[in-house]
Amino acid sequence: MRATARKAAWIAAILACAAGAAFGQAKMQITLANYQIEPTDPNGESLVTYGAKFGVQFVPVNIDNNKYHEILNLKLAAGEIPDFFYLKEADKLGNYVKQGVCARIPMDLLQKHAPNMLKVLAENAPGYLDMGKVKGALYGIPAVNATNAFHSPLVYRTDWMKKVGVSKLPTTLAEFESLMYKFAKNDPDGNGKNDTYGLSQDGLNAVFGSFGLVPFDHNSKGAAGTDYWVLKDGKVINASIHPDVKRALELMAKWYKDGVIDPEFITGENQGGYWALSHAFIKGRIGFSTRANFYHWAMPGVYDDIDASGKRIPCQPGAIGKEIVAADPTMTIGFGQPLKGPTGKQGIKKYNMLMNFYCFGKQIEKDPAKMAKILAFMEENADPDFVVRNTIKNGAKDKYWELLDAPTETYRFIPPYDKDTGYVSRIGATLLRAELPFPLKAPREQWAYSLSYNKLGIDNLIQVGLPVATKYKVDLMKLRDETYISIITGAKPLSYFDEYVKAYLAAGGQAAQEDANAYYEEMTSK
Amino acid sequence: MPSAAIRRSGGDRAFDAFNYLVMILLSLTTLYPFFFLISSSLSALDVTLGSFSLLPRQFTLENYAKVLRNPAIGAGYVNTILRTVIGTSLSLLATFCLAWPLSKRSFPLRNLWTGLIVFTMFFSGGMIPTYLLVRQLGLIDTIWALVLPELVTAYNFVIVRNYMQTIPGSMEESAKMDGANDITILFRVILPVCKPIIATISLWVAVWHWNAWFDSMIYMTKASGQVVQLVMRRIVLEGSDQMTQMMAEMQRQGLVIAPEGLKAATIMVTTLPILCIYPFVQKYFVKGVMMGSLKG
Repeated sequence: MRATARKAAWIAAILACAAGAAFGQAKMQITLANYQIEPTDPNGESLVTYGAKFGVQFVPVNIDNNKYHEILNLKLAAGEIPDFFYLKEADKLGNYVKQGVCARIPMDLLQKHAPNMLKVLAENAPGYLDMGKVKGALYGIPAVNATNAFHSPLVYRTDWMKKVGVSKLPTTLAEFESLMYKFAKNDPDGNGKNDTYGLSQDGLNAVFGSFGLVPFDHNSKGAAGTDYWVLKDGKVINASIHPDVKRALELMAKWYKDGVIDPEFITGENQGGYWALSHAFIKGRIGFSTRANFYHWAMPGVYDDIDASGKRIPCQPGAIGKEIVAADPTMTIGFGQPLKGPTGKQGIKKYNMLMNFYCFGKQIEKDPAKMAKILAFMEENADPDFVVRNTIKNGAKDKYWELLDAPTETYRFIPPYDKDTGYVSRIGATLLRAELPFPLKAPREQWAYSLSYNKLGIDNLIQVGLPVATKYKVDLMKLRDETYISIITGAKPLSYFDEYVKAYLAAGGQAAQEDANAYYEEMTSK
Repeated sequence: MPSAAIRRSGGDRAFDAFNYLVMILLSLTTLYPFFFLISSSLSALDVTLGSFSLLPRQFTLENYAKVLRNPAIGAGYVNTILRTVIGTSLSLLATFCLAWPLSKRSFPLRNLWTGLIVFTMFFSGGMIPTYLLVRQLGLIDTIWALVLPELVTAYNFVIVRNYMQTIPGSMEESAKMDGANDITILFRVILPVCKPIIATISLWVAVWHWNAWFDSMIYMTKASGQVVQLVMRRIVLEGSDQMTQMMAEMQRQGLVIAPEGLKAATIMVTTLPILCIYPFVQKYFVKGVMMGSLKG
């Protein structure tokens, strides 16, 4: 039994080698590692179709996205650098370039083979291509998330507001404070118990935002967390040590003492499962949140969607909206604007628009023919025709998806693919994807524009991870979180913030700051 | 025979009652998460996280039907069963063949060989060298990548060797006098005496194989080769990582993220088989560990 199995394995291996050799002579092979949620079939439909179109053989390097960098590093150590790969953590570009993993991408090649891609980036995300440069040379093509142009939503429970007798959504920090006290003290849920709070962890961002700061990236933890950099007296500093943070913390400590901030804010509003959900809000513990993105909070019919026949219909709820409808149908929510703070600043957190980088393996640095082929499929993602670029992204039109409305670029997945998120990975479409910032025309985004959520978001000055900052990041973030929590809960006095700033600078923050300033000067001097 | 029983004081009884209570509570805390899973797996898809009880809300088997219809689960199951069966039998064979000679006091350089094996318990090559080795042996994408690297673990070897050392040498001598050769002695005399330790080691190895997923993630690059635990992990983790989901979500709006009930059903389906085997081998399990350790 064992012997036959082994024999079979040998024969299979020999056959596979022979087949590979035969193919290798016929066609140029390009190995791809990109975002995927399921392994790609080597003969996946998209790989075959586009392979034939560009005259190459696309070979998937299946890397589980949940442990992407761990497994990519294994392959790199074994000398198997994929020809085309994405950096899930944009932070890592500097290190990978230093270690000689990424190929330099010549600008003239880009101009020749990917003019549309350059145009889309230049028009909709000026300056982002420069983020892929290390010491003046381009190593990574940025994946830019256009939806992140919209800032965090400020969501209030309007049914609670009615109960406590407030009709206008707050626009200043003072109005906000008064409303939060009413949410906590005036029994807005009317159950006779003192079991409600104003806000929890994600709500704090609205307060920091009214000082023009984003010191706290609450949704991602550890190495994936983002550092926010802001200007102070012409110098770049980490937002978490900005002196105005102290004023915000002073306010929060007072709110915490008065029972306005949910004591569970330390562990956050999400209790596991789908990341975007704010369980504290859905369960009626708090009356305000800024969690996730605006579209997660869409309630049924808040904007008009387009149905299969092209007619306008009320939209489906977003992920949080769906939970709210199921948990408490009487709940109503309203979308507020960033708060004006005592220093005259007004803003709120906005995610980095820079998501990932697309890199080329070092081994093809001297192989412009292969680079041209890779740029060719990337360029397909930048095609002015929506149908062309959505086909490389999501597979064949009218098989996997159908266009509902051309002007708003609205489409839908054809059953059963509407319930099957994995198919794009299996056919290889995700391996050929390049995320580019096309202007958003869909009804959902039009709704966000109507809320003015594209304005007043606080931009992160440095979105790419600088090597020095990345080195100390995890420790510094831990220090920051501990400090903030102990000041808010009253375990440490407010004066502890000054000690924190000193400790931060001593523990690598100073070096990171100098690095950041050097980078910023270089970036802005052009 | 109640009359013959030692009379127990009120204090004794109170102590017992207290003991039982604490033990029951302790068992409940370990059982609770399990019940929670069973209950969510049997609840309707649209029951939200916000409302929950120990009894399933809107009882349905739909979650299980969906999980079992997933083609990846089926293929994963086959791979897991295959690696568990092949891996466990080969592991047992190799471990016993290694432990038997090294349990003999007369074996030349016995302590050196044993020392070399024990050495690997404290110092390991790490992930990258192991990956390189497996790759250069050409095992990638074969079942052997999941079986061979963990064929003999030093810990299991030590337990088996120690157990074998407790078998009296006279048993072997008498067999020899009856004309048996070494192989016959191992298989017909020694192994039957080793039943408890065989049960223990095979359970350990089988459970390890059943639960392992990381090696499949590294070595199996095709969907058809992946084990069921990896498929389960993917379903359960779907949507928990914000950055992972961003891209897919832009089109999907988070509407098709696997509901909690489906995740719970997946976990149940993948853990149930090993859970069913456990009670039957458990008696050997405890006995075997004791034997291995006490007489070492």
